[in-house]
Amino acid sequence: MAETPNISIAGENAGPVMAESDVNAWFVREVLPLEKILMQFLRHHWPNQGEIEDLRQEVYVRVHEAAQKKIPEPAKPFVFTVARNLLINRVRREQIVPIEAVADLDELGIAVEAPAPDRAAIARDELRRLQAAIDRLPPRAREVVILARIEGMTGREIAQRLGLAEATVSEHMTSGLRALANMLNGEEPGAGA
Amino acid sequence: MNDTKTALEIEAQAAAWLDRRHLWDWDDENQTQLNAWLAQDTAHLVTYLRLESAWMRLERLNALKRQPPMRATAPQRTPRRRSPYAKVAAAFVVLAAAGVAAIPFNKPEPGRVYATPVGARETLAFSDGSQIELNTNTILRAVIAHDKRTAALEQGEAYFQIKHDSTRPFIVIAGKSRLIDLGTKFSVRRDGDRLQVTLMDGRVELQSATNAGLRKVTLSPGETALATPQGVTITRPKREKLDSVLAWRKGVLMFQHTTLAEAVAEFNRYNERKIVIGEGPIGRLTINGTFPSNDVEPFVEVTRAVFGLEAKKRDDEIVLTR
Repeated sequence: MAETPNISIAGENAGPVMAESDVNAWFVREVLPLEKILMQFLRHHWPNQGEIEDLRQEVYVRVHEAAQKKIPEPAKPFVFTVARNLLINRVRREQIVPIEAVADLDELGIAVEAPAPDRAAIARDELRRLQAAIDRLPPRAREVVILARIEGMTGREIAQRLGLAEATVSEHMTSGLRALANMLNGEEPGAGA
Repeated sequence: MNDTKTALEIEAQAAAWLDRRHLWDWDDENQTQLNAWLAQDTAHLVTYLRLESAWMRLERLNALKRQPPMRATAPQRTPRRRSPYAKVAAAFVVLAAAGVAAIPFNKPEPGRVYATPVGARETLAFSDGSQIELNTNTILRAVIAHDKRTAALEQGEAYFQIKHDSTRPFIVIAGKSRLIDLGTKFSVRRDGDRLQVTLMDGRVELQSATNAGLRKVTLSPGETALATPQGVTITRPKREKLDSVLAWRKGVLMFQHTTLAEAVAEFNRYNERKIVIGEGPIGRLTINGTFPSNDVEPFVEVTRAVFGLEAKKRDDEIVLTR
């Protein structure tokens, strides 16, 4: 890849992307834990529930891009200011939401001041939370994720062990991963389960 | 191009990347493609980070699994782990019960203070035959007495070669963790409340007060434990990675597929003249090689020759840009 054999642009042993920059690490550490209240906020203030994931992504994009210039501290008020501005702009642009929605948004101050998710409590519950999340996965996805993450098996080994096609292993892995991200970042473990 | 893709579609792509990277064959070409995809759109990056963080968090169940058994046997060579899931649940119960135990981690210890300035190294030899090497910018407070042996690592990094003495085990205190030596060689690096312990030889027990309660793990040679307020994880790095942990004892830094961001952070530990990475994805380039830790010039030269980066030299910093 490069002329000097000692140098490579990319490597199989590259660490997690979240460890590659301060901004990524900050995003994972400070912003993602806010997802639960962010989702509550978006659901509360946006009538079209089918667009919530898009709004969440847009908030994350704006927050991350702002942080690339300067990491905003503390994170929480910043994230909610971004969310609020995003919703206001959408309301104005799309004119599909009753204008009262904007008035509601001004009450955001209350939402931001509402008790933060207790970090210590979250940490205390982390293991329970992880287990509850894994337990709530569909059985096949759960098996695949456990074999991959806890047992350290490769996809090929998992396919053999479970007698599945490799493509099926990938399907369970990706669906399991997405469900886990939702459960770990947002929904209460055990809620409704 | 991304305007046509919904958040859920991007999420499906990100999940597919994680699946490929963690479950299937993965080479430089794949990594290059992933890097390109991540750099293409911040929406890709944040979505990937969100899924990756969930994946990384599951690692904690792994640390749990190794809790109760104290392995006295030689370490297994393979990094793959095979014990049944049921053990995780069992360990979980044990830990929940142990989580309330309290240790006076923060009790200030008296003793003699040893410190190294930025860029320096020092070897301390103690009367009990133990030896401690301090890396750059390190503060250590040691008490070697007839009835006890303790060393508090206030900051920095040190390599311990401890002479075993069952009547007075050697205890290293670092923040909210402590290490109880069972006759060993190990390296400890402390960055604030993040502690990394790598065991070269012998056995050592790590006790760490995390937000989730007390964690205890016993390390086998070749294993690295990372203790943070969030928890303790154990990994078994590859051989070359292990060598690079102690490269500082020879006055060099060894990089294997290390990102430029990480490499620069390492250099900045050793040098007053700091390297700064400019805007853009430069920090994600990866580099291999061995460099003198106290001289940034060869490193800067390599980034210039290989990556075509420009190095702007200011008073006490060097800014790398494209």
